[in-house]
Amino acid sequence: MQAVNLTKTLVLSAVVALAAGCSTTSTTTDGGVAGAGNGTGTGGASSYGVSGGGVSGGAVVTAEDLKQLRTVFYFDFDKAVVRQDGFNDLEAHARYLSQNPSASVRLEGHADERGTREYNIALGERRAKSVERLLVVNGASASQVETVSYGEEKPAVLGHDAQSWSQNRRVELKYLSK
Amino acid sequence: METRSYIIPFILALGVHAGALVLLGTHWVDQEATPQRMTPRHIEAQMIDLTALAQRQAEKERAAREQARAEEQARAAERRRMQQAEDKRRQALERRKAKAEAERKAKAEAERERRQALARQREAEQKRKAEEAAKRKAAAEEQKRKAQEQARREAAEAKRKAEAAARAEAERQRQQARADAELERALARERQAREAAARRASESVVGDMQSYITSMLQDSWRIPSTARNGMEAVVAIHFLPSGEVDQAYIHTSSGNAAFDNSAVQAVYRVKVFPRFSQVDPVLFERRLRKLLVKFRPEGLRW
Amino acid sequence: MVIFKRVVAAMLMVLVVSVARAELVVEVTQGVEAPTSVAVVPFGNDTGQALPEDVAAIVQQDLGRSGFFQPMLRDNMLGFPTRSEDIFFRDWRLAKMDYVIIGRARAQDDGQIRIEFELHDVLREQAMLSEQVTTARDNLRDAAHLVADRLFERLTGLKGAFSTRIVYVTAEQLGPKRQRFRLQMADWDGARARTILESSEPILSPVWSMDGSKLAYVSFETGKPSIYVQYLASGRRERIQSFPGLNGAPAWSPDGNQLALVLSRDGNPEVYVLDLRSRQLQRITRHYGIDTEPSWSPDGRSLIFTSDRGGQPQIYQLDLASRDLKRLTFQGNYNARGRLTQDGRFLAMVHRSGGGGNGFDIAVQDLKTDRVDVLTQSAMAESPSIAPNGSVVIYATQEGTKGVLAAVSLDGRVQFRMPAVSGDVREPAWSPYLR
Repeated sequence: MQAVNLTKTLVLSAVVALAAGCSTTSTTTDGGVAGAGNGTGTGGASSYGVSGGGVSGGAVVTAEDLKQLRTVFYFDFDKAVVRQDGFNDLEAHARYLSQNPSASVRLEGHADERGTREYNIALGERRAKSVERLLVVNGASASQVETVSYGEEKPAVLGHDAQSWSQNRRVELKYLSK
Repeated sequence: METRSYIIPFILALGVHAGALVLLGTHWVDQEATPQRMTPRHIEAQMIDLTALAQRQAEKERAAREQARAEEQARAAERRRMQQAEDKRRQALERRKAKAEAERKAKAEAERERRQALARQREAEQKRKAEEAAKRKAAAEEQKRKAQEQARREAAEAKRKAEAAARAEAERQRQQARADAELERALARERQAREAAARRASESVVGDMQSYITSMLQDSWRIPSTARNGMEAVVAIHFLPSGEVDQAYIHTSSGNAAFDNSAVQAVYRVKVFPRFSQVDPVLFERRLRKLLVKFRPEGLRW
Repeated sequence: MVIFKRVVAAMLMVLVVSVARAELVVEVTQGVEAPTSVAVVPFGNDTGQALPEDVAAIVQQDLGRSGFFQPMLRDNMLGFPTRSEDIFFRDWRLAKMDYVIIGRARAQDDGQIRIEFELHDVLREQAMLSEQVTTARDNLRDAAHLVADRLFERLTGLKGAFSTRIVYVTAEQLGPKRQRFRLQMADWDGARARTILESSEPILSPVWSMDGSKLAYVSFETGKPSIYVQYLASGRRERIQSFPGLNGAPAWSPDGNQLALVLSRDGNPEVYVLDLRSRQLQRITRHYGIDTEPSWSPDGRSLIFTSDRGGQPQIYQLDLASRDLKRLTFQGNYNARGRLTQDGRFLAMVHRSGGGGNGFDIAVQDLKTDRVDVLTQSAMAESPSIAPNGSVVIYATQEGTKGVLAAVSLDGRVQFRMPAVSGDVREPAWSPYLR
């Protein structure tokens, strides 16, 4: 529950920060907003206003824009909390979905190979659900999003080291239709 | 004269009693009627004057009381008369008895005096005869006494001699017995000490053998994987005097086949316990020929 | 009264006499904790033809891998007797053997082969077992496992599990994004493997029904996870009703009428029980954390499962009648996928101690004393599955970068690798007794 709350808080602050970034194109006004909206986080939200990439500020997200967005989001070990560095792109995906009701995505949750397989399936499921919630909070409709967890069955990288594991703890966002 | 004196009081008493009975009879009848009126008819009872009723009740009670008093007085007079008649009769009887007693006493006195005179006469005669007999008897007695005295002296002398001899013998025997007993006790003490020492020795041998067997079996027991803390099997072992295992078998099973097997095998793995050959054969026979060994693992993982 | 006194006196006499005559009792509480030494002498062959299998070798391997026995190497044997009159017990005794097993194969008139085998107690110099097994010529492996079962039972009092089977999943990387998954079945020692399902999508969590007639497993063949039941005799498959989200971790109840499983249809992974006759679904856990990997207690009265409700994965036990919940594991920071032995006493699980070592190991917890023993020294052990007689735990681990199957006796004494197969091997599941 704490994770969800944290996620929501971070999402809110990110959205506020984005809006602030758009309207003022100033970095100095964001500190206060971030501080107000984020009691437990690292306060890093202010940096996303300016570093959010080419499409983050636009009101309309085009199919062309999607190519520049990230589709893989990474997680910490045994955690299902979306990292802050994925917020901007997820928000853009959400905006695209809300602007294109016929579009739909599939979220594939994954875990690294450590731990038991069924537990990792459950973990991947929770990761996919975390991303789904972020999309829905940002305007996508629940019917546009489906989730599936592969646990540790489909690693992105076949290595057995910390580097490989960090790349395998992920949610992949795939457009079923644009 | 006595009969006549009772007639009048008797008739009087009868009359008094009859009168009392008549009075009492009417009274009982009245009393019986009263509760009948009392109980169910409340209205009728209300009409009777309560004071009149009370007066009549009181009169009736007073009459009954006077009647009772008269009867009591009559009965007391009767009792007094009968007491006086009885006293008179008793006094007459006393007088007659006293007179007869005096006559009897006088007769008895005369008779006693006559008998006393006769007895005195007989006594004197007997005394004279006795004196004569005594004189004769005394002479014979003296002679007999002398003979007896002589015999007694001789017997006493013999007896004294015999007794002295017996005493000496008894004393000798007593001393002998005392010596024997003393010796016996000494021997017993010695024997007990010896036995105790032997017992201690054999106990210590048995104890030694126990720890010897334990250590031999601990080295040879392969505890199987199925063993768990708390399992317990008892193996009976029969030894030959050489220390060789004659036979070993499960006496009390642990309930686990592998565990039971391992215990019996531990015994057969040792096969010979050489130190048995150094044990006293009697002790072996008594204490060590058959043993029970309890296999009870401690400190296993599970 | 007089009689009573006499009885008492008689009893006292008996007591006194029995005390006086009681045998000396010696207590032995220590011993050598070692496997039983046993020599499996190569069996004689009176059939006139070479046999396709070395029966004695299979028996020797079976007994050795159980962890209960230390078989003698053939090279160290002084002779190869095949008949009891040829056994020189003194020699075997000197070789420190407790038992000798001999045997011979004979051809029968009907073309079958008869395996005669004997178990001899070296120390008592007596036969403990003399039996025979008749089999077709091409079925000698089954006969050998059966011989091992009989010997194991005679020696340990436990039913042998050498005639059981295992299933497991292999994964092969065919191309950059192409994989092949196979569900395979083999003898308990990994021999005679055969594929019973093949898919380009993941297969996992195979589990045997208690009667050994069917399997349940999770397959992603439709792109989403679904639970299937496959009948082993016919190969027929049934898909259990699927729900949105997770469908996983099936577990048969001991009576075979219910299937515990994990669904996320109510938002997050929870344990449910599906009645296979009425198709009624009952939710068992109710917690916002992860609840998964259910497994039934042998009496069917409770479920154990993994939950991270305490902040990290630990194993819990839920009584189905009273709904009482009990946390079973407290040592280590990761305990998952618990499996109970058939006697209910031991819990095998994936365990990470959390201290210096960061690897995942197989551990066994004695539920009577809560003592935990780590059985492996592995970085990546998982999926423990216990032999029906509780002697051995099979599990998946990594050798180099390859997933392999390994097994360890419940006391940790004996560890061994299953024969290599192509691809990554994972998710072993041990069958119940099959006959």
